[in-house]
Amino acid sequence: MYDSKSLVAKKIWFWISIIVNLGFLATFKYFNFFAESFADSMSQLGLQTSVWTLNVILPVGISFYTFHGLSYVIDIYKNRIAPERDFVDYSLFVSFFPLLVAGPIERATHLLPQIKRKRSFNYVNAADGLRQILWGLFKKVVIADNCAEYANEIFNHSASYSGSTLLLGALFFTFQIYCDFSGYSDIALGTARLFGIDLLRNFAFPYFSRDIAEFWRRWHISLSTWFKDYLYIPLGGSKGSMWMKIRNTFVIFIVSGFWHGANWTFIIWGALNALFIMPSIIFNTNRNNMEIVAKGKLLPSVKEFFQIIFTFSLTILAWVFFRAATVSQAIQYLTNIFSVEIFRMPHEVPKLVCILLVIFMIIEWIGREGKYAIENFGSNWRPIFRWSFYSIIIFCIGMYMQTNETGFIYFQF
Amino acid sequence: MRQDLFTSNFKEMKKFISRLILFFIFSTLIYILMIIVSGAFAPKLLVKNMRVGGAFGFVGRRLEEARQKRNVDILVIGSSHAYRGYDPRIFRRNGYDICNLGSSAQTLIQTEYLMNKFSDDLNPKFVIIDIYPMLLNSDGLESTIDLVSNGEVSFETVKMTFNSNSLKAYNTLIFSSFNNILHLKDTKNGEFEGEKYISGGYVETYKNSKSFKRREKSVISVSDDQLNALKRILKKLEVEKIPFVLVQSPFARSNYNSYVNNKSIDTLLSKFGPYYNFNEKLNLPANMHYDDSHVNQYGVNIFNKYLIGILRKEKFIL
Repeated sequence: MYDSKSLVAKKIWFWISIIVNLGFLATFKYFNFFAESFADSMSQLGLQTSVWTLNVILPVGISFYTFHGLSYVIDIYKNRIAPERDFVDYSLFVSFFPLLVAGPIERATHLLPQIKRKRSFNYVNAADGLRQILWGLFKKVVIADNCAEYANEIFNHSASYSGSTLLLGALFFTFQIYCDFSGYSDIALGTARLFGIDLLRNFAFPYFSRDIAEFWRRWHISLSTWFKDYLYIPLGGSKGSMWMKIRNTFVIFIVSGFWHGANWTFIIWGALNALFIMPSIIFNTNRNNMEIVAKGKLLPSVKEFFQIIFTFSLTILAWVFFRAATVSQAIQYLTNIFSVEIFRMPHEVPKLVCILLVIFMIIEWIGREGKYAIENFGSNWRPIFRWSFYSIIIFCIGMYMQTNETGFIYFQF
Repeated sequence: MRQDLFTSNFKEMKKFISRLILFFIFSTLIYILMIIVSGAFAPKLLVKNMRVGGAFGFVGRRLEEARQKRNVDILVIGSSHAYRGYDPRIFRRNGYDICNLGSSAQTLIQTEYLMNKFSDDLNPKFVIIDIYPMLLNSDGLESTIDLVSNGEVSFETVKMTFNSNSLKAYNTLIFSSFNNILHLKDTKNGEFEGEKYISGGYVETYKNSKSFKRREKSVISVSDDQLNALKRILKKLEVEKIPFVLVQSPFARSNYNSYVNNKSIDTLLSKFGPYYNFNEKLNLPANMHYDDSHVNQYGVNIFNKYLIGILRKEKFIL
């Protein structure tokens, strides 16, 4: 493609690459969804069809490495990079183990030069990598997995719980998915740093966002920016009319939802987020909150506090669709939350998990100006105190980690 | 240039590894200290992956008592079925002094450990090995933690802890080891509502679960590790010329019937020696069950009299 003499040939090679890349993803991940949706719509019309479905296990991380591959092809087509001639380097770019199964979704322009460069061991980087791994591990095995125990129970038996318990379940899932995925990303970034590789940042304290636009600049950053660069901007971005902007926003959010899985719940989750972000798009306030909240201050202003709470509540609402098995379960779940039952005491409040969550959020708040919460935590303390702090985190992992095996949520994507 | 890069890399790496080793030692010490402090002083709410004594079954008190005893007539050993199923008062009335070495979810691996530790001093004339078949495939973690949390720290319990490879077991072992030296917390004398410890290792309860949970049909599987432990126990008894019986004590019908291969378990266990499955011999009414896995005092009264009758009839005991 890169060496093609004519534009037509270049385009042909480009589309072949795109179709091959997306073909694998479509076959493994979406074939059954389309086949079953087709059969459903036929049966709505009174036509019974027997569809053939694939009975295969979804390859781990297929959505992630497909997007690696796509960005590589698109960047070559756009002449942003030259094709990689060294097969080993290219293979390492596509399958670098820390990011293979759940990202971050890397760009060839960012990762390939680092792979090719001669690296030397750096003490500060390696220590920082270990620190990030430690914090990621804490988030995953202590916070996410403990929240998962309750969130799973409540979501799996949602019909038998009161509104307040369901709200608690949604809240636990909100923390579970954040700590599960950002915990994984921290471990991946930390591991890569031990090898002298800097991966793209994936999370930047999204739950402290003051509006949904800010939330999406801070949540799964590598995917959001991927969609922005390779879908939103080519579609015209925010350059055209208001109608164009609205259409493009809905397109990227719905595609983003679909990227997560072949289920209507993800599509509605994406559409709901598009809806939430609409006021910022229409009133052109989507770039109002670019810096982290209350930068350099101890506490946010009252206005910021309520903005954070409001944005957080919207995300909880959307996560219900993400977590529910079906759309009808999600609707029933939300209907039951917004009933008089919400004023009843929750079925069971896991006090220990709540205490851990409060401590976790305090540390995240204090460390929100760093790349990850404990990056600069105690950087001016004497080493013995800093080491004690890390040791206490290790103790918390040993004492509070959920010992039942709980997989990473994003491994399924 | 290449040499410089190598030298600077080597220096940085040396610094990194030496600091890492130092941190490892430092954090291990802090970890142990935190385990001790939280075990001794933290409220129960803040202690998760560790057990600090006070477990069901009074195992600490039972083992304490077993240490004092010598030359008993009958040794009963097994899971909670052992300490909830054999009342020393009934045996005493019939002329037998018994010692019970049951612990919660005790598998044959822990039974072997307790036999090795106590049988020489107890010097029993007869041994009843109570086997709850559902534990034949268990990893024995609960029992290991039960033993360790109640102060049993020895080379064997350390070995069992490492075999279980569980964080909860490791944390419990750390605390118990220091608690045995520093006596920070009494782990042996817990009280439980509606349960009374009876000298001889028995736990008396009149509690009765009105409804039993519905159980799906399932298959009891047997692990080689458990069977090998049983073989070693029986070999030891054979060498020491101590007669024994294997007993499956009674529990709720709904639970028993939920297992589809009870007959094959009976066939397997009867290959090892005299074996009695009291679920096939007794059909106790619902009010005689503490829960769907154990009988209460009313059930024990009937079961024990029936058992003593059989053991006498078969001349296992005189």
